[in-house]
This record gives sequence, structure tokens and C-alpha cells, in this order.
Amino acid sequence: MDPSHDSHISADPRPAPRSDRFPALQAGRHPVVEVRDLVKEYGKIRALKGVSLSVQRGEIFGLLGQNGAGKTTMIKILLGIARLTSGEAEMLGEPCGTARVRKQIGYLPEDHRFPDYHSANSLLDFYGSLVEMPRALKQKRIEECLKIVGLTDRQHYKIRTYSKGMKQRLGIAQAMLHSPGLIFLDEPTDGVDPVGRREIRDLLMEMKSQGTTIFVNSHLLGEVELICDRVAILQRGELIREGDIKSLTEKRGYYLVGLAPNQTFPEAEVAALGYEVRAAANRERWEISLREGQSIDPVVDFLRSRQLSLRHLSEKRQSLEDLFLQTVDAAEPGVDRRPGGRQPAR
Amino acid sequence: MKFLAILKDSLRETLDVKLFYAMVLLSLLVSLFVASVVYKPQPIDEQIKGSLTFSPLRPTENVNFDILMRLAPNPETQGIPVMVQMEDLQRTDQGPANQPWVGNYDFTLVLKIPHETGQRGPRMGPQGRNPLEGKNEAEVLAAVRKEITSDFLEETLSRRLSFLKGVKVKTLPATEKDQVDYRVSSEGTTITTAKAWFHQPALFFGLVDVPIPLMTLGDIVTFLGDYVIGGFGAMVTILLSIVMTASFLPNMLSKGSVDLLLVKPINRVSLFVYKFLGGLTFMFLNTVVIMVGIWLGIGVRTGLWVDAFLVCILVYTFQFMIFYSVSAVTAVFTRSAIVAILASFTLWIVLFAVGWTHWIFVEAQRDNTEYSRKWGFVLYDGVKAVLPRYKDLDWLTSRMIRHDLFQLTRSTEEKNKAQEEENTRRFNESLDKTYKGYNWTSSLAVSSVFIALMLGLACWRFSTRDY
Repeated sequence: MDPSHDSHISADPRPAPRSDRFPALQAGRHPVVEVRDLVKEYGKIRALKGVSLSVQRGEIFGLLGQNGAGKTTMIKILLGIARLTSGEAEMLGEPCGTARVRKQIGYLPEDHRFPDYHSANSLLDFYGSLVEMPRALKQKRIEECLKIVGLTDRQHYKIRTYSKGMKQRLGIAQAMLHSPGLIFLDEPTDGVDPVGRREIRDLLMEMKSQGTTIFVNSHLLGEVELICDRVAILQRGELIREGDIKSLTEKRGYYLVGLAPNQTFPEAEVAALGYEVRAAANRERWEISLREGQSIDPVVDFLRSRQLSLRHLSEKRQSLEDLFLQTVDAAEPGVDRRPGGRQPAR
Repeated sequence: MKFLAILKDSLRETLDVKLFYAMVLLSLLVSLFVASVVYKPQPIDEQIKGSLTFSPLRPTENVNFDILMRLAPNPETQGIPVMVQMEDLQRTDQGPANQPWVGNYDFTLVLKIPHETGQRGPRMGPQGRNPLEGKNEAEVLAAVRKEITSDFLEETLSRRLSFLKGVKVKTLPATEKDQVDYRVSSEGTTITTAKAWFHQPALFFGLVDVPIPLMTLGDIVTFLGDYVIGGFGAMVTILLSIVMTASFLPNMLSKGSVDLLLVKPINRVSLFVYKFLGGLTFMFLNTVVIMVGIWLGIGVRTGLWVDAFLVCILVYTFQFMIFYSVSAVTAVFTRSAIVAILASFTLWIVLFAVGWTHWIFVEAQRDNTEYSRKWGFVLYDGVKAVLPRYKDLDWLTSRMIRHDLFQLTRSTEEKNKAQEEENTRRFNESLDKTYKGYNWTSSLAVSSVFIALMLGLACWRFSTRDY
């Protein structure tokens, strides 16, 4: 096996999450994560300003936001690594941070730093012991997890010899080692090549299909859009958007039109019909906005009447990236706003 | 299970540090070195020569002060430096050759008058006059013979050569014009075991003799245990261990690493304490390696199984705990191994200085009422009272080793019982006087309170801090 190759994750079947210790959850009466009016202050700085959100069992939830928006702070509060100033945070039906809850959680931090004197095998053995896994089960799960993330052949090598992608895959392995019901992944595809990313996506989808709830924090919005059921956007400690991917990215009244090669789009005439027209994709496509009560049909009729050959016509959905940029740019300017002030996409 | 897992993790971390191998190697080398020391029983003539001269380091032909003192009061012989020589030593029994302490001996003792008397001798006559001036050698020898009778010599030798039993002295007819000869005989010695006999240590399995004064085996082992091992060895081990373990907690607390541990279902205080104990365990294990090695090495070589060496394992680990607690609290506040090392070393220097000051200066003045009223003395007492007793524990360990070795080397013969009891009483009195002001209870109690405070502070900070 080529140790530098990062694409070895396969979505093997894995044991179902053990949520039997939380009967209320099993009966579906509680969200897996529930946060109400969460406030975190570091001295005079308010990192979180009354955030409320919930994550349902079995969904993949994405938390988005610019650097310094408060994403990591919120995850750390949920995990008991940092303490909340006020508000309430529950996980798996219990106050967050208790040992019982932590036993059911997997976590991959963004800037994780595994002790490099361990090998993958010994590290998983160490972490497995800390969550009190029985020896036989631990050995079984270590083998399974290493196989899933493609580190079996390198399991006895010191971590310091691993590439960044291998460390990332090891991080995922340790997060799912004890078959937790809820997994927090902070930038899970960071440092992983495109093939590896797809394998991680497949793995997450597989885990989701088995009932595991996954809380993802990522800057790769394309990835998030592909795997998440719901997302929330944090901006300067405030939750400014939350919803399911489909409804957030749906945007009615935008069409992309493309003509046959060497044909000129009659931009002025279409605009004269009362439509808003904009060139897109190097003037090979044209974006047409519909106003209230308008239809795209008159435009199509007009182009046909001018003997122009229509080669592309699609209703445009905005991407998650569009939504994110539009949302954060529209929010109040702050220290985490990108310099240059890029115009929001519509 | 969690504790063992963290212990195992600490072991991996330790094994990953090259310094650990250096320490283990050093421990093994020290153990090997100690085991390589051969203790050669000194022949009795060396012991007699050493005992007859003023200093064992001086050459055999030297002035004997006992005899000088005898000669001094007499105006005829005052100022005559007499040299003592031993000749024709013979063992008259059939005992084993490697046990010189069980033999009967005969030897000739020669009192010799140097020809250049008055120039080479340490004493001059009245007003710096050469006592031989105006006298011929026969007159001087007659005077010496008159003063140094066989009875006098018998009494002197019985005192100076106290290890010889049944000393008898007979004056021999003159053979040379500048000397007087005596024949001395003895029957057995007071020494019953090799432990109390004079030995010559030789390094590297007997290859290199160590040029030291005549010392009994017990004294040599005391020197080894007290100064070489207990003093220098323990200090080096503790300082190296501070460096070796200083990174344990900062590594655990580093960003990206501590998160992975804090999300595990383990109480923060337990996590901290387990990690602390992990560091402590390896100091303990390393001390076990070196002290058991030394205990075995010395025991096998000398037959002196000094149990105090084994107790030292606990004492040195406890001493290390004082510094490691400071290292730990510093690590929790700064997450820096360098700062933790600096803090520990600073404490070590302070405790070392305070301890030595107390030993060589303050304790010596303790009974001086005027001195003890001075504010500096009061301030010093205050500072010492609240600081952990690192050096006190060193002195107490030293006392323990000396006491243990005394017990091991004393005679167990029934006929010597009364004398040995008296010796033991005197020895214990001497120990009490030397180590007055030091006791285990207060030293351990004050140090334990200090450690508990440091660990309590570290636990509080670790368990309340956001990471």
C-alpha cells in the first residue's frame, strides 16, 4: 500500500449505535442535540450570543460560519471542553458534558494532534480503554475501523510517519471506534484528496443510514451541501440562518438560458420585454430573473421567433456557497468579514 | 483500567524520549560500576603501618607521636623525632590466608633515630636547639631505650593497634647503633568479620586500585551509599527525571491533544492525577532499577545487604514528587515544558541552598541565644518552615544509611556484647547530635502539605479551565 495515498476509506457495515442507555432518545422524544439561548463569554468578549438550535437523531447537521464565528466554541461547549456562561445545552437527553453523555460521543477536532509516539493501533487501543470498551470488543473494533479507513497495513507504524491525510483518517477511526450515537467532526475532509473525500462522504452516509447522528463543521461548503440534511450559519456568535439544505438552496424565478454556438443572445430585446438579464459563464449562458407574475415562456417564444436555437434552459438553484456568502455578507460587518467586500450572489 | 491505560500511554511517551534511554543506560552503568568494585582485604602489615603512623596516608617511615610524647617530657630526649618501622612480619597460625583478621602475628618494631635529627624531625629541642648536639648516638639510644620500655610500648600498641588481641612486647638486643628493636606478638584480633576489616576498593573488577585512606569495608560502603549514591547519584537522577517528565503534562494539555482526552468519559481531576502518577511511576521505576542494582552489587560483593538503599527508592521518589508537583502546576498554567523545567529547577536551587545553609550554618548556631534573636535567623526559620524539606530528607536518608551499616558491621559475638552495646550507644548519640533538628515526621508532613497544595492548585485550574 502506498502510504502517501489518502484514498482508502470504504463504507463497510458497522455495528449499530448503542443508544439503549438513553431510552427517551430511542423513543424519539428528544432531539439528540438541543441548545437554547447559549451564551459564552471570554472576559468582555461574547463568543456566543444566545444561540438556539437542535439536531434530530440520525441526521447530518452542518454548522457553517466564518473564522471566529463561534463554531468551535459551540462544539467545545457541547462536548464539555469549555463551559457555557448561560443558557442550556443538552445532548442525548442529558446536560452536555456529563461522563455518560461523553461515553456516547465521537469527536474529531479540527487541529487534532495525536501523540506521535503512538501507532494507529496503540492510539485506538488507548482511546478505547478510556471509554471503557471491553478488551475483546475493542480489538474487534480497532481492526474494523482501521480497515474502514484504510490504515490496516500501517497500523503499527508510528503516527509521526503518517501523511496529513492518514492522520485525518485515523482521526475518523478514533471518532467512530466505540460506535457512538453522535459524532462531531470538525473539518473531516481537511487534508484529504478528492478521492478520499468522496470515500469519507460515503462513510458518513453509511453511518447516517445506520442511525448515527453526525454534526459536521466544515469550510468546504460543496461537501456540506452533498452530505448534510440541515445546516446552521453562525455569524459573530449569532445564529443567522438555519434550515434544511433543500429549502435553503431553493430559489424560484431564476433561469439559465444558452444558445447554439455563434448565435448572439438578444440581451436588449429580452430586457425590453421586462426581464432582468445578466451574462453568466463567459457569456455562454444568460441569467434571467423573473419578476412577480412573470413566466419564462415569453422569452422562449421570442428567441424562437428570432430563429435562435435554444441549447440550454434550466431553473437555477443557488448553491450552499451562494447562500453562505449572501448570508454572511448581508449580516452586520464584523471582524470576521472577508476583506474586499465581494458582492453577494443572487 | 483507565489508570492503566494512561500509565501505558505514559510509558510509550517515556520510551519515545531519548533521554529516558540515556537515564536507563546511566542507571545500568552505575549499577554495573558499583558491582565491578572489588573490595580487597588489606594485609595486616598495611593495617599496622597505617595505625602506627599519625596519618594513614603518610609513608610508613614517619614520626610516631605516641612515642614522641613519651620522649618529650625528658630533657635528655626532648625533641628527638623517632621513626617507627615494622619488619619481619610473620603469621604464626594456620588460618585461611584471605582472612587476615583471624591470625596471630609476630613482627619487629624498630625505633630509628635519623642521622640528620633536628633538621628532618618536626620537633626541635628548647630554643630550637638540636637535641643531639653534644651527644653521641649511644647516649641518645640509651635515653630512648630507657624511655621506651617494653611495658610502655605494650600499652601504646594495645591502644593504637586496638584490633590486635594479646599484644606482647619484648625488647631485643641492639643490632644497629642508631636503632632500638622490639619484638611484638599478638594472638588473634577483635575483628570477627570482613565487614569491619580494612579493605582496599579496586574499580573495574579489581583492575584499578582506589587511592583512599585505610577504611573498613563498612566505612567504604557508607561513603559509597551516603555520598556517591545518596548525595550525587540521587541529585542527578532527580534532576534528569525532572527534565524527562516535564513534557508529559504540557504534551497532554497541548491544543488538539487535550480535546481528544477531555471528551472521553473521564473526570478531569482523575485524568490529571493519573497522568501525574504516570510521570511519578517512571521516576519510581528508574529509581528501583538503579537502587536495586546498587543494593545487589554491594550486597554480592561485600555481604552487606543494606536495606536502607531499598528504602531510598521511596525517599527519592518522594523528593522527586516535590519538584514534579511544581512542574505539574506550572504546566497546567503555562502548557510549556520549558517553563515547567525552569520552575522545578528554581525550586531545586532554593531548597538546596536553604538545606545546606541550615546544615552548615544555622544549625551550628542553634544554641547561640544571641544569634537566634536576630531577625535574619527568625526570617530564615519562617521560610524553612513552609518550604518542602528536600535536603532534610537527604540528611535523614544519610542517617538511615549510616545507622543501617553500623548495625551490619558491628560484632555479633556474645563475648563482645557489652562492648558492642556501648559502641552502639555512643554511635547513636553521635548520630543524634549530628542530625539534631531533623526528623522524618515533620519533614514528610511539611513536604506532603506542599505537594498537596501544588496538586490541588493544578487540579482546580485544570478542572475549571476552558480548552
